[in-house]
Amino acid sequence: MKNYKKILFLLIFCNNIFAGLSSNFTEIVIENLQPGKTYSLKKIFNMPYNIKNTGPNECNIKIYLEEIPEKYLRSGYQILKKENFNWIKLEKTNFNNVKPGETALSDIIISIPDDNSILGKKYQIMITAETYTTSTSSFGLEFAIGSILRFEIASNRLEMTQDEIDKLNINLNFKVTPSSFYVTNYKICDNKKYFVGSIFIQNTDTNSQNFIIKSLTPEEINGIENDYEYPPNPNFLLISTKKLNIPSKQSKKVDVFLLIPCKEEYKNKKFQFVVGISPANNKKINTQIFTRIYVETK
Amino acid sequence: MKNLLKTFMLVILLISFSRITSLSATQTNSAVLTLKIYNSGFLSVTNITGDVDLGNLVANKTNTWPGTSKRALWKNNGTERADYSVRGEIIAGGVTLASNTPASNQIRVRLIFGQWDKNYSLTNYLGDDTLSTTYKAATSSVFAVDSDADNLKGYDVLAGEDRNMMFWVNPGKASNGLEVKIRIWVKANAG
Repeated sequence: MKNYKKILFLLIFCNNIFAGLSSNFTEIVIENLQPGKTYSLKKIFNMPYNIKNTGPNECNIKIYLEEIPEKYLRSGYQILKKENFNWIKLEKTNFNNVKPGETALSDIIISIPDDNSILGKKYQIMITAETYTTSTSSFGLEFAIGSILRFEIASNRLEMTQDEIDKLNINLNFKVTPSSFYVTNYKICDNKKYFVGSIFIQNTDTNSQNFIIKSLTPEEINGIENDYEYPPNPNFLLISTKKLNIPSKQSKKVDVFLLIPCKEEYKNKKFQFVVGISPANNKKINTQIFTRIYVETK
Repeated sequence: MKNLLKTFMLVILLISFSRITSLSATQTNSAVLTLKIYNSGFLSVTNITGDVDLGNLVANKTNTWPGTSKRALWKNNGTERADYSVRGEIIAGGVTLASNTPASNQIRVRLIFGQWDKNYSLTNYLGDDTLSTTYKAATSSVFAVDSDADNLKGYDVLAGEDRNMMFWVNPGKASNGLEVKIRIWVKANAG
């Protein structure tokens, strides 16, 4: 009976404590933005910011911009400072009574100042979504998600009108899983081809598509985590095929292996390899999805 | 004459080749915008229902460190590795603190990251840290725990892993026994 009362107490007074959030707007990079122009992620990429209530109760969600903490800053990028937050507009910032399983959406509109001094510059910002309650209970456990948005200003101005930019539109018509692999205790001098795993590429388009699969060079990788090094040679990652035709609505897999030569300089290191997958087309918007391979050597 | 003709043909050939090369370069660079998605999976944080030890935190004369214990078990149920951080806010409306004790003007929240079994015994200690803030006999308002609280401790958590957390909350010794309110945000960061 005592236990029953305790449970009842928990249910009545503490229902706000069970919550959860998730988002697949995790880490996005947009390149080649033109000064003086405005870009809507919803209109151009059909990709608004999204945040889902994964808890069993309704919750309130607040979305806001934050200066990216140093530790998440990728090499070559700079922090978009608070005074420049007006470059990024969140269409909607407060969502009340979001039902369980419901996803809150907000367009992100990037407006680049018409200023030649920012040509070629790269910026990074954090978008945070967090639950909040108006409950009067003395202890509240809330949840938050921090997503990374990186954007790069074009090095050269293109003759493009705002109207032309507004007409740009693409549907992301392929999926890649997983986003990452972890290889720990890779023994450098084993001289065996190590099977890292399989990358699955799903063509969600109504037409068949050709894909290019590539292990990226340091120059092609858009920065890595602080505690990792760029791959000494992208060819240490062996990919079973570099071109793939995938029929409509089908998936194919690519096997990835690792073979790092037996050299002292490669021992006890943390390398980050990146495999980039992109459709082999010639559209006005390039899309690439990546799988990162984190390798710790012994 | 033959040599001249040969040279002429070679020049023509070179010009044609360079045009073809530049054309293909233009074709591959015709994109005016690039979208790159580094993490296409889900970032997520969800607490594990039923494992949160609840109760009111009431500042009173007998509270001593470590004070009231709270437990929050949460999990990375997304598909991405995430870097988790914790931020706290303390709402100490109207609390007056006694001035003659070491903890008199502090609120401390100790976070222990680790894993617990079903009997709440710590089975895997991963690290801990203490959030603390100092405040004067308050009349109102919200106290951020400290300016670095957002980055208190980042722990990489692989998808599907639990990273449980225990709080010890010491609201301090308040002379009037008023309630202290604490909000803790557990944040999954794309790292």
